[in-house]
Amino acid sequence: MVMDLREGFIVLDDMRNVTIRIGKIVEEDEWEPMGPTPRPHILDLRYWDQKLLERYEPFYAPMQDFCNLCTMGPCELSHNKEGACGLDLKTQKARLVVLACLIGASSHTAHARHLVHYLIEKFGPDYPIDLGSNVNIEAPNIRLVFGIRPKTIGDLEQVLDYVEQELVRVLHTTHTGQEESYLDYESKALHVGMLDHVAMEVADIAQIVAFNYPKGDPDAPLIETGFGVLDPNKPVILVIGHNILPARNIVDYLEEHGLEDVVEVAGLCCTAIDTTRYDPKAKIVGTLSFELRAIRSGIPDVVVTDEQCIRADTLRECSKMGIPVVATSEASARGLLDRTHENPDVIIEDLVSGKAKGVLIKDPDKVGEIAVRVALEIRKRRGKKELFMSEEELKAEVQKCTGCARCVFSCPHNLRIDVAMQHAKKNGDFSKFKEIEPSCIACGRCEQSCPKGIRIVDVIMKSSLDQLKAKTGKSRAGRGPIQDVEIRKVGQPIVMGTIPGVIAPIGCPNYPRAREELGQIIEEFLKRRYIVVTSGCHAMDLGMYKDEEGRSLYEKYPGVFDAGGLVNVGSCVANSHISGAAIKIAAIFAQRPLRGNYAEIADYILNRIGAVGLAWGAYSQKAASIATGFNRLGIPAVVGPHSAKYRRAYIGKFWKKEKWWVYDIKSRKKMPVEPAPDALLVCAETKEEAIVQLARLCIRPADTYLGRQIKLTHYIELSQKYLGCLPDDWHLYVRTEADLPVKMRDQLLKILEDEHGWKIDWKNKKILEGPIRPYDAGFNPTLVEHVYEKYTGEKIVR
Amino acid sequence: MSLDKVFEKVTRIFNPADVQASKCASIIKPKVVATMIKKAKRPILITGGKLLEDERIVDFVVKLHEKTGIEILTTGGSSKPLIERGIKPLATVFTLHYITQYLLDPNWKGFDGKGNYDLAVFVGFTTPYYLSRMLSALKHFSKVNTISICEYYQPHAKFSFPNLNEDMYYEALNMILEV
Repeated sequence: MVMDLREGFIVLDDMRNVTIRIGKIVEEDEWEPMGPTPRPHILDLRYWDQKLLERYEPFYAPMQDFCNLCTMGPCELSHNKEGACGLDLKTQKARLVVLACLIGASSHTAHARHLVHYLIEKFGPDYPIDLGSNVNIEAPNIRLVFGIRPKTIGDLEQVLDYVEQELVRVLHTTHTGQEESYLDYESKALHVGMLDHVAMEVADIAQIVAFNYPKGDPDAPLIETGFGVLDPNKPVILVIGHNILPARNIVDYLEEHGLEDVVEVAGLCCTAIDTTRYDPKAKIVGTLSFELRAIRSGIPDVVVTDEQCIRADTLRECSKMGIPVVATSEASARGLLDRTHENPDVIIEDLVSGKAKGVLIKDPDKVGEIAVRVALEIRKRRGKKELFMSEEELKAEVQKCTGCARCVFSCPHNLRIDVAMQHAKKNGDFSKFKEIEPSCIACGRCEQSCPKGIRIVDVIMKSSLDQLKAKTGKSRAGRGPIQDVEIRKVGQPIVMGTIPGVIAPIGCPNYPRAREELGQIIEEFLKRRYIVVTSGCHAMDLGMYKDEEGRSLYEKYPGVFDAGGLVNVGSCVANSHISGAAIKIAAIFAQRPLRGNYAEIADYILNRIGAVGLAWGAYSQKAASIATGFNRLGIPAVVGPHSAKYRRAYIGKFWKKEKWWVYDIKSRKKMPVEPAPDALLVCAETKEEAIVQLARLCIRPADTYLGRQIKLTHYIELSQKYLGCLPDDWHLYVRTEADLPVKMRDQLLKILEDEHGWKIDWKNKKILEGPIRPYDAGFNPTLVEHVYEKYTGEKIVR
Repeated sequence: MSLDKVFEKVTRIFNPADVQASKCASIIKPKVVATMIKKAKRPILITGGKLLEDERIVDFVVKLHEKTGIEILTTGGSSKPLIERGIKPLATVFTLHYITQYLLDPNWKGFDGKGNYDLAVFVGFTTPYYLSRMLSALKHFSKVNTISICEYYQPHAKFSFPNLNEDMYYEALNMILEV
């Protein structure tokens, strides 16, 4: 029997032969009254999800019209037919979205569990969570969802217990023969997304406090970034993945042996970011799309892999180049022999001699010695090598091309490799490959489809070697959380709208076109003094986007969470600080209680905080889960066109007036409201379109007239600049003449009168009739009944 | 190979992994595109971001609009070159994702309030995979007829051009205008 006693006392009397064991004493001071949904289970926030899904209708774009998950199938579900289990196509797609989110959230949760387990072993469960004097709300997601203020690393274990339990419960629901409403599957996806942000927060605050990463420092160091920062004249250890532990041990080993300046540590993906948070001397090569570039270049002397977003052919690719691999994670053992407990001298000799192509070393604390000694030995023996291939090989490769274009049809971007090949073959001019290179994600699908076996990726990269070497820049090391003092400063202008929005470029490198487009999008908003807060692959790629003077965006814009600031919070798991910042605005500026109070805070964010995510190159299941977590919290995301392949979006219909309403706590009325934002997840095709959508989705019902005026000014200007005209829907966001951009006021009033039939008092230049609702400075919107009841004291008859 | 022969060939989908169990798009000849636009009660032309970089598709859209009167919904920023050429699109700010969501709703009255559209013609999308997903949604969850006159074969449209090389593609677009 297990008794979970929350409050009160028990009396044990007349008991014999009873053993009482106390598993864990949880001391939680009453820092805030507990809200309605601490540790919510699957159905506890369904009512909030239903509010969102009512407005933001799920949109499904099937990748397949069949299901083959059970042996009654495969079932052909085209045109929304039902399969043998009774599930229709739409609901099957929703189920797959849940599975994708589960994969993503499980990745972060397993990562968090590994870190916490390791840190407790190293430092003990009582190691304090101290993020510095400027960060008092240390774990906004954990406070909001789980309902505790974690004080020690040991406290994080119970949070992970909860997250893991919920993930398993949701996974259970995807078994054949359960849900029949796609809306219920969507609610589960939203639940998983929320849990993901909790798990990410656990992972990041644990590593920040234990490894002494920057703690909300706006002036975190600048880090060398880009393919060109790899020094081919030194032994190079390339660390790939998302878990700092092995890379940290390498950095420690180098320092202990005075080798920091002898051996280079360079990283790909989030391990790169976290390594530079630990040691700013480490370098960032780039994102997943640079993995094949880096390995095929032949520069690395040893490759160390941990987990997530590592190519599944890493060992094969490295073996071709004579680069030994040290795998370190249970998630990607790569078929290698576990040699964790063997003598390092023997392992090193086997790797250096080529007897072993790679090894699995499960203990991260044993990786440093092996990786460093192997890198030193390999470099001595290898000498200098041609990068990618020789000039003769390059010429010979293009001669094999028949122009069949299979590569084009296999390329995720349908890049015209055939045209570049034929041009090079006929004219000896390789310049067209240079045009392809910035858009190439180096996935290698082209090579798999080439009937002549041409090393297409190598051809593209060798032809573009000068521009690859020129890819250098500076990223700011991930600073972790947003400081409470920063929130105090910007909370009000964000909620009022006078800071026009927070743009959050996050996610992976599967961009629709050249990487530079991301920088172009973001600089547009930095110049307009939006707050930009970034993480992961986007944070790295922004470091490679430079102006004519060679300065990266991080060198041009400050790292503060304020208007015109560019904040890099860190790796994937640091996304929790972005959701955390929105939560903290509700807590610090609006004094809303966080503890177990998810729906109220999400409702606050949806109606008031003009934050929008930008996942311009999202490819992974983690990105799906992260975005879905933002969505449940009331934060929309604009995604690149590849994200249509996630199969699901959340898009409202502005013309369905019955869907756009709120309760106004001030007037105590249910009233219509402008459709702002009108989508929670939507694709844009081009950078021009993305820019306009980002500005548009920053508008919120609670904007003050000054804030709305500023937001509309940017929205209209950007639409005129990139779309060539006023946006179609600007009038929907006008409540009063004071909302209108000052310089255009007369012109816009005229359009409102002529084209939309509004009544205008021209003498006083006032709107008399027309808006969806009148402007009220005290407007206090909510979609949630219990929030309305809490602040008005009135009961709503449901 | 002549254009006529190309239109008779079985064509490859733009991504060999985009495999479907149900029917793939029928190849449509330029003349038939023109006829279908003419016969439709509520046809709509939806343009994509390629118009920002391809003047010849802009030319085609302008001429098609002038010749047939087909209304245009612009996405991906394609409004800008069209407006510069005197076209007044019905919508400019809504992405292809939004427009597809609206088309899926039989109760939508269109951007002019006259009712949903019975024929959607797509041209000028730089990202065939994005258009493909939208066509898949329309195929499975709506009764809207769809025609893709982009340069790659679109398996989820009801009708599509085959894969065409550059010269043939512009020739095919011109043939629509000649009808």
